[in-house]
Amino acid sequence: MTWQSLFNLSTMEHRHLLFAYIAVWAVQIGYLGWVAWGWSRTKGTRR
Amino acid sequence: MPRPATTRIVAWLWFFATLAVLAVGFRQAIFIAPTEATMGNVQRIFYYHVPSAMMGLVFPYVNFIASLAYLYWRRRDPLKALTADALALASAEVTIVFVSIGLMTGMLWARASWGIWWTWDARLTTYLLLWLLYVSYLLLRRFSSTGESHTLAAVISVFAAVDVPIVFMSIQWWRTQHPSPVFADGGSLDPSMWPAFLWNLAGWAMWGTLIMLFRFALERRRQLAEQEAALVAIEASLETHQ
Amino acid sequence: MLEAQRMAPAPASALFLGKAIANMLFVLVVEAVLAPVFIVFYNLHVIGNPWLLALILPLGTWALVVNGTFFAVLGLRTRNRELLLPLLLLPISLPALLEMVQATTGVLTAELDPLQINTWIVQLAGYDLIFTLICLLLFDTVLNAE
Repeated sequence: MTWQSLFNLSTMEHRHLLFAYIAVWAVQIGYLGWVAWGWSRTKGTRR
Repeated sequence: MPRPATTRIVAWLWFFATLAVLAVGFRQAIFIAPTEATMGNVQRIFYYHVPSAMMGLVFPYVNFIASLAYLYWRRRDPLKALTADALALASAEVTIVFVSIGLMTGMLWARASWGIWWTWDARLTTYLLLWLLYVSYLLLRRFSSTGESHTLAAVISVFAAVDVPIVFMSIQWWRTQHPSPVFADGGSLDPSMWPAFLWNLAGWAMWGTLIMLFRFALERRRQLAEQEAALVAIEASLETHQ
Repeated sequence: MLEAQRMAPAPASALFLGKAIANMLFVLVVEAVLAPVFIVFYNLHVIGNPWLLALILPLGTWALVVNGTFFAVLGLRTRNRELLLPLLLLPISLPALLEMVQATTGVLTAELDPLQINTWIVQLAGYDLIFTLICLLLFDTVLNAE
C-alpha cells in the first residue's frame, strides 16, 4: 500500500481500514489525554 | 522504592520507545506487509485488531489478581489493600479501552470483509460480555459509597474471571462462525505477515502497560492527596478542641 | 433489614442459602402455574423424554435464582441498582440460559440426540455447582463490605 491508496476513500474496504486505524488512535490518545488531564488536576504530595 | 525523578525518566523513555515501536508497526502493517489474497487491503485491520483483542484478554486478569489481593489485604493491611485497589481500577479501565477497540475494529473489518457487523458466535459473544462485565464494574465503583465500592467491585471481578471462560466454552460447544483461529495450528499466518503482527503486538503491549501504570500512578496520587487532606482535617479539629 | 440479618448469629453462607431457597420456592410455584398454561397456549407436544424436563427446570431455575439473589444483595446499597442488576446478570447468566434453552429445545423437539441433551444438562449442573460455590464463598464479603 502507499500513502495515496491509504487515503483513497472510494471503496468500503478502504474507508473501513482508515476508520479502524483512526478509531484505535483516537481512543488510545483520548484515554491517555484524560489520564494526563486528571494528573494535572491532582496535587502532588510531598513524598 | 525508586526516587520519583528516576521513575519519571523511565516513564518518558518508555513512552518514546513505545511510540517508536508503534511507528515501526504502523509502517510494517500498512506499507510492507503483503496484501492478503482473498480479503485485500482491509485485512490490514488485523494488525491492530488482534493485538488489541489479545491485550483486552490480559488486563482483566491483572484486575482479577489485584482484586484478590485487595480482598486478602482488606482487613490485614489496609495500605497495601489500597494500592491493590488502585491497580484493579487502572487495569479495569485499560481493559475497557482495549476491548472496545477490539470490538470496534472487529466490526469494521467484518462489515467490509463479510458483510455483517456482528454474529453471535463464541468469541464475539464472550468479548461483548467481557465488555459488559467491566462496564458494570466501573459503574458499580462510581455509584456506590466509598468503602464498600472497592469490595463489591472486587467481587464482580471474581465473577467476571470465572464467567468469561465459561461463556466462551459453552458457546464454543454450541457453534462458531468466526474464522478459524489463525494461530491454532501454529502457522496459518503467512510468514511474511509475522513482522507486522509482532511489531504491533509488542507496541500495543508496551502502550497498554504504559497507560495502565500511568492510570495507577494517578489513582495513587489521588489516594495520597485524599489521605493528606483527611490528616489535615483531623489535625485542624484537634487544635480547635484544645 | 439487611443490618438485622447481619446481626443474626448464623454464618453468612447460611443466610444466603436461606434467601436463595426462599426465592427458588417462589419461582418454582410460578413455574408450576405457568407450565400448563404454556403447554396449552403453545400446543406443546413433548416429543422427547418429558422426565428430562423435570430435571432441566429446577437446574435452570436455580442457576438464575442463585445469581439473582447474590447480585440483588450486592447492589442493595448502590445508587443505580435497577441498572446494575440486569447489566450484571446478563453476562453472568448467559451460559446457563444457553444451556437450559438448548436442553429444553432438544427434549421438546427431539432434534438433538440424547447424548447432546445430556451434555447440556451436565453443563447446566456444572454451572449451578460452580456459581453456587462462588456465591456462598463471597456472600460474607458482600455483607461485610465496609
